[in-house]
Amino acid sequence: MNINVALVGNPNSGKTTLFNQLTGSSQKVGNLPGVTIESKEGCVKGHKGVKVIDLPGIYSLAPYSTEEIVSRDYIIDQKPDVIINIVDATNIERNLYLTLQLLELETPLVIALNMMDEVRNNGVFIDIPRLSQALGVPVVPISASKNEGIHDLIHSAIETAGKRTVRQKIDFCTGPVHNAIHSVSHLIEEQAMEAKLPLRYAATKTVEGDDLILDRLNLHEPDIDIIQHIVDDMEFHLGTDREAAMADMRYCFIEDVCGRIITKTGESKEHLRSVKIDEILTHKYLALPIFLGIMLFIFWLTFGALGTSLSDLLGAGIDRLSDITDEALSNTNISPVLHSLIIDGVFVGVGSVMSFLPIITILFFLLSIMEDSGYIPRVAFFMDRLLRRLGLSGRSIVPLLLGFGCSVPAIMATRTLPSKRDRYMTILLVPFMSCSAKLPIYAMFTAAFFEGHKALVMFSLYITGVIVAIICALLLKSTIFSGKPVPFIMVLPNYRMPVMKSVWLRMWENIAGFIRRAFTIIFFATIVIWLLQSFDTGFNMVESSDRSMLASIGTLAVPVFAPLGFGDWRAATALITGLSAKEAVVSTFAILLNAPDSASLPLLMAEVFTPLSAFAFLIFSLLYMPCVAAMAAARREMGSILGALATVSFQTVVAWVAAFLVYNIGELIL
Amino acid sequence: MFFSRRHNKCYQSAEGKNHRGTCRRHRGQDSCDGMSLDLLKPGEKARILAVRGEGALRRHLLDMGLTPNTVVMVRKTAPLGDPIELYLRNFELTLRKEDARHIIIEAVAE
Repeated sequence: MNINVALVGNPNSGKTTLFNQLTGSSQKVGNLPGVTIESKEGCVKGHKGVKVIDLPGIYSLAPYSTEEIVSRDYIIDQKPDVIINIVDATNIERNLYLTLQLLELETPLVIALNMMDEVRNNGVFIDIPRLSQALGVPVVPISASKNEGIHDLIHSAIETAGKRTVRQKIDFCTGPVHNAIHSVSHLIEEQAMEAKLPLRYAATKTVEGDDLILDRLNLHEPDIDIIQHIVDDMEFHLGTDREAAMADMRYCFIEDVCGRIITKTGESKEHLRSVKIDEILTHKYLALPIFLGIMLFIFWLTFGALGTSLSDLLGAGIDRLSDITDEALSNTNISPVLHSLIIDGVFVGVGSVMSFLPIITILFFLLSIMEDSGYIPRVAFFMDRLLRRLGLSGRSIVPLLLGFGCSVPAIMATRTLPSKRDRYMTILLVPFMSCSAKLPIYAMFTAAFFEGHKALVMFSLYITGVIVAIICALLLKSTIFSGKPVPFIMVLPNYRMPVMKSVWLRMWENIAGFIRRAFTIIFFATIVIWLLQSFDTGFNMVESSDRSMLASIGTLAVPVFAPLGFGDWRAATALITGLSAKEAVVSTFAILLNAPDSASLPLLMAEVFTPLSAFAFLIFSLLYMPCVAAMAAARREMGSILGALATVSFQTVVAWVAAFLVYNIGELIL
Repeated sequence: MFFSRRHNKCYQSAEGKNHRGTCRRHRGQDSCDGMSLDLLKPGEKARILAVRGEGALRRHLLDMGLTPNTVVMVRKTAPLGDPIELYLRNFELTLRKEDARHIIIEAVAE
């Protein structure tokens, strides 16, 4: 039997952890039907045919964020067999607010009451049978991070889906709201059926004044008048308006239920601990220095001590492998063309990129820990004021920080931003945060030209990216992105120990992407470059690559880069191939300069650059348009090709101007 | 749009009684003499009387549990002076002072 399960819950309720426990590694990323919002899907371990879809984390089913609309449309239109509503037991009131709205959707539902280990630890007792009775749906206590109760949850969900039991009619509304919802129910019965909307949900949303549902219902003129009258009447009796009335009614019901089923002994240990940690981490004077310290520590660990030595080790290993293969190939009677392709093309190209794997692994590991511990919302909290000056909100800090890892997930993270203006602006600025794929370029150039000042040059590049982003933000804020700042309402979740399984899964996703790129796009690009540089336009193998096809193509772009100090066809070619993936800049130089192994590549770079033009080249690489994967992500999130094209053109112009200034001012000074 | 949102209608506070004598609450208008949440100092507690404003912002404030009669405490002000951190219903919520202005409160004793 095939069962489709939809996983719904508040952000930070442990939804992703539960999803990982349910599905293990059988996850697949896809888009929700009809929209560009990505969701994960997977099969439940040990239950073939039971599919889980992880819907976005939401607080309500109001139509004010894309995530909320997508989630409710998914449930109504795709009709999953059962909803697993994950509820954080340590924050039960706010979590049940969503539950009450989900109950109206007439889909079988099971509540997974998460974080029960914390609840027990704190000596709090929750009467689960009575909670289940009060809501009319099964409630299964679980602890997603400790993998407790998952088995019972799956069974309860399968059973509920099998019985197709929708909760018995239990009203959680009282007085005037009750009357209004029921009167409206009778009026709109037919229209709700025609619009394929659950009746109770349609009635509640009509009373609430939800424009999207009202449009979909397509009510008749006389009915609209009657409904208006019913709502007016309700508002008059309650002395408040329709929206406040509904929210108030739900919270009143929840407070009543919670009062009866929970015996509480004050704030939880975890919460008190969180407050204590925040006394330091969001302290008036310490917050910003600590944040800077953490960022410096992350960069030091990634690019300094640990990452570089591991990278060198892996690089040496790859060179060994290349030598062994070279020897083996020489002993066979393989054609010299194929030999050259494997050694000079594939090994040099893919190998030079693969050696950066340790650096990228460490960076993503640390960023994942920062994300899962709950620190990032705090950063958003104390950075909001600064970011607002730039026309953004504190929330933009999440995508911007992720941008140091990879622009693709960072651009996808912008969909959590509540306004289109903030989203567009953040998408535009994210690529200025130097992504980890650009690291190989910096590492190779600093080894070649700035051996004594490695750290300084690296640091100055990262800072330049941030400063350029700030200048652009200020420029855009006062021109095309002028407008009101959006509200900033954000929950600060308790700090938690990151669940290693989730950190590992997320890290693996990113590393796997990097390896996949190395063996697909970069492998392919490497072969193409090798072909283009080994043959001339008449398809004869050339002695030296400056007479090759590649040289002819690169030469066309030379005039554009000449004012920046690197009017060399090899530099131009490297920048063009860098569009497939930034690491390809390095592999392109490796091939074009005939580097025998990755260690000797920096020595050959002096053929193309002076230290000053090398620095201008680095600035250009830092800022110019992102790789195709990031461009595709930007197009998806902006929903417009033109927007994405305008964005990348803007970035490239900025890069040109910045590199031009660096080179020409440098010329004057030096 | 089917229903016009009527911004000019007056509402009393949720309890149905009229606080502060002559004050009638106008949504979206600052004509009330009630104290607003942005004026509360860290460590102080208050009870919410009404949530003003309109549209998505107001709806979101209500959804997050800032409903009339809820008791909130201001936990702290961000290092740069804005936003503020609130404690309510057993969790922490941050919002900017300019949005907190829409929330009308009365102080409660410790």
